[in-house]
Amino acid sequence: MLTKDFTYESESRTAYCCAEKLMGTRFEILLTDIEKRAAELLVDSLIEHISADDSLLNRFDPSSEVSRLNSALAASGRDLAFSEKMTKWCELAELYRAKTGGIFDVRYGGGYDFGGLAKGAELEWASETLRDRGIHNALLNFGGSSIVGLGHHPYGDSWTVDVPDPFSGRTLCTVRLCDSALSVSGNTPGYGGQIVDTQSGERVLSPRVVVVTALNPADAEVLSTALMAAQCGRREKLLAEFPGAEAQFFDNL
Amino acid sequence: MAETIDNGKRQFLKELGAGAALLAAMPWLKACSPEKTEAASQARGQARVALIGCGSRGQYHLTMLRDIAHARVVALCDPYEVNLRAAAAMVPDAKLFSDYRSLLEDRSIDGVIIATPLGSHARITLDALEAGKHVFCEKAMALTLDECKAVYEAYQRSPKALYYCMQRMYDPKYIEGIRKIREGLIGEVVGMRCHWFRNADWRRPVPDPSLERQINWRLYKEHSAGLMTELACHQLEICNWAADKIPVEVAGLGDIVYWKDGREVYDSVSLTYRYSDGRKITYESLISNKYNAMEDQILGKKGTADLTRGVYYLEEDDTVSGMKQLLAQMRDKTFGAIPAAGPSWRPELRNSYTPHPLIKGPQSVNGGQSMVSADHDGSDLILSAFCTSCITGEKVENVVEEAYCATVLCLLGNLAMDTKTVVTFPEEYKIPYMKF
Repeated sequence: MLTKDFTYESESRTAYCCAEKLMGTRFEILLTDIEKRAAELLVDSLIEHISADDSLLNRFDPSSEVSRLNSALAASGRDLAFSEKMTKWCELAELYRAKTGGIFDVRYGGGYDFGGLAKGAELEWASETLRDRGIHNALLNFGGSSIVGLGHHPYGDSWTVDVPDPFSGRTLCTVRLCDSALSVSGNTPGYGGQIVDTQSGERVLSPRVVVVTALNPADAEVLSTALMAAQCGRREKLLAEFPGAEAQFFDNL
Repeated sequence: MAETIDNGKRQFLKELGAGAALLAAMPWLKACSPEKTEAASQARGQARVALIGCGSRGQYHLTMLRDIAHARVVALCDPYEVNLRAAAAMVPDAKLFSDYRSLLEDRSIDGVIIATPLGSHARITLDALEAGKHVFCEKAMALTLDECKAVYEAYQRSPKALYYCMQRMYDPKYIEGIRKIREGLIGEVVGMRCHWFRNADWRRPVPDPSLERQINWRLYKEHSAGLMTELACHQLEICNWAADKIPVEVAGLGDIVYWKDGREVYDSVSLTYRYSDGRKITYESLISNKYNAMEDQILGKKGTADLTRGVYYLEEDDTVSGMKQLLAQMRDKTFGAIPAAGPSWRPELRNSYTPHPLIKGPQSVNGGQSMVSADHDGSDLILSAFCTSCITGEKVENVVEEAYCATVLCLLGNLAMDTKTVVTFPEEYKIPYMKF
């Protein structure tokens, strides 16, 4: 069940909200220079929208559209008819599949899995919504693996985020975000192999992390997933498809 | 420079904000009150003290004594000429002795500071008290349980002051840490983890093989109780403060894993001490790897106190990511990087706890690697308090009892390791001060 923790600090006019178990993880947002009520309404509307998409895409929820699609595929090998929203998600996924030469593929493995795209896409939508509402400085963090920084920290020229080594806790790198996004893919001690090398068909199990920055959070997430899955030789080509994106590789942690 | 320790004492209680409650809970601090400190600083050179045992730790005491204005070192004693000469170079006017019994006959000495190998602590302490001297002895109290009991009982009968160098009792990080723990800072205390790791063989160069057991006394059971009394002593004391109890039993295993050089004491120990309510101290020490250095962790339901570093962490900090640290930055009008990113696919993020200082201002942190000393770890203050006792004749509260408890627990730990059994705290070594 979704739980929300909303904190407003009136002196600094800062709002922070943390929603647990949104798309299976923690969604956090920090807004600066905003009135409390406006922040509450805004945050609620963002979470409501993402929640609705979660109901569509959550493959761990048997009542979600994606679960029903996957069950039908497993049973009959055929797709059910998509809803309009699902059609749009699939179109987006197809764009990225083509862009990555098939390395990123939500259909890999016989069912639909939007796990490497959804959070980034939601952050992209949220960023646009905030800008439309006149919010130019904010930090949004979806599960630690997808982050977007609009504008900058009130006392700095960017939002600055450390990426710790999941195996040792030491900082791997520090990323400055200013109207840009960060995505981290990798294996952690105790959880790995969720990304598959689509060329070899093998699960990527080695202790490594990829850190991607891009202008667009959906690009960042797709790219970080694809770069984890891709063999070393394809990394450069992949990056070339995403102008403005950069990647740091931490292999053999 | 000579005023340093007295100035330090003046600030010490003031900065702790020590009121009646703290002094009631930690009565040994009364000697550091402003009035007593002032009186002591007027009594220049009045405490005539002697050092018995002029090795590295003894010489360290001499450097501290230089800064204790109300003390004067009038005599030095060591059967090993090399050490005696080194100490004499630091205090040229001191009388020199090779036999402590002769030194004890000197009526011009008010108090003695004992920094000899552990095996001789009890004997020299008993003789010194008998000779009417105030005594400051390095920890631990004694090599055997019976010796500990003998010293404790002699002290009950003696009018003289006795101190043990349990310096954490005078270290602000520990005092403040324990105070805050008792006030509920980290919630109910549920366990303790202490360790002390070094990577050094403990062995010192020996000019002649005949001096091996004298100079490298730490390695031999006739003089030393090994890692437990040399290292664990202080840490077990802290755990008992936090638990407000003494453990009822101990189990452990000890081995010589790496330093197979003829030594008799373990170089690797791992023990569990258990309190009557099930809380436990997990204690580890080995001296062939220093990655984990030294830590004293008191574990509470709401947080963890890392007393070595003078910081505490709250459990709630880990369930909230680095993002929430931004709120603190907004409040403080600061800008910094936050640890908020990671390849997390699960709700639980691998977050970092925010360290919160236990005391304001810069803190000395003991890395635990020196065999001799650590700056500002309370040693100077307790030594100064002893020198004050040499003038006033006042006994200090609880220090002897704390040293007794800690030493006995160390020795019981050794017994548990030697016999590979769970050792229950023996009735015959219990004292009224102990709570089980």
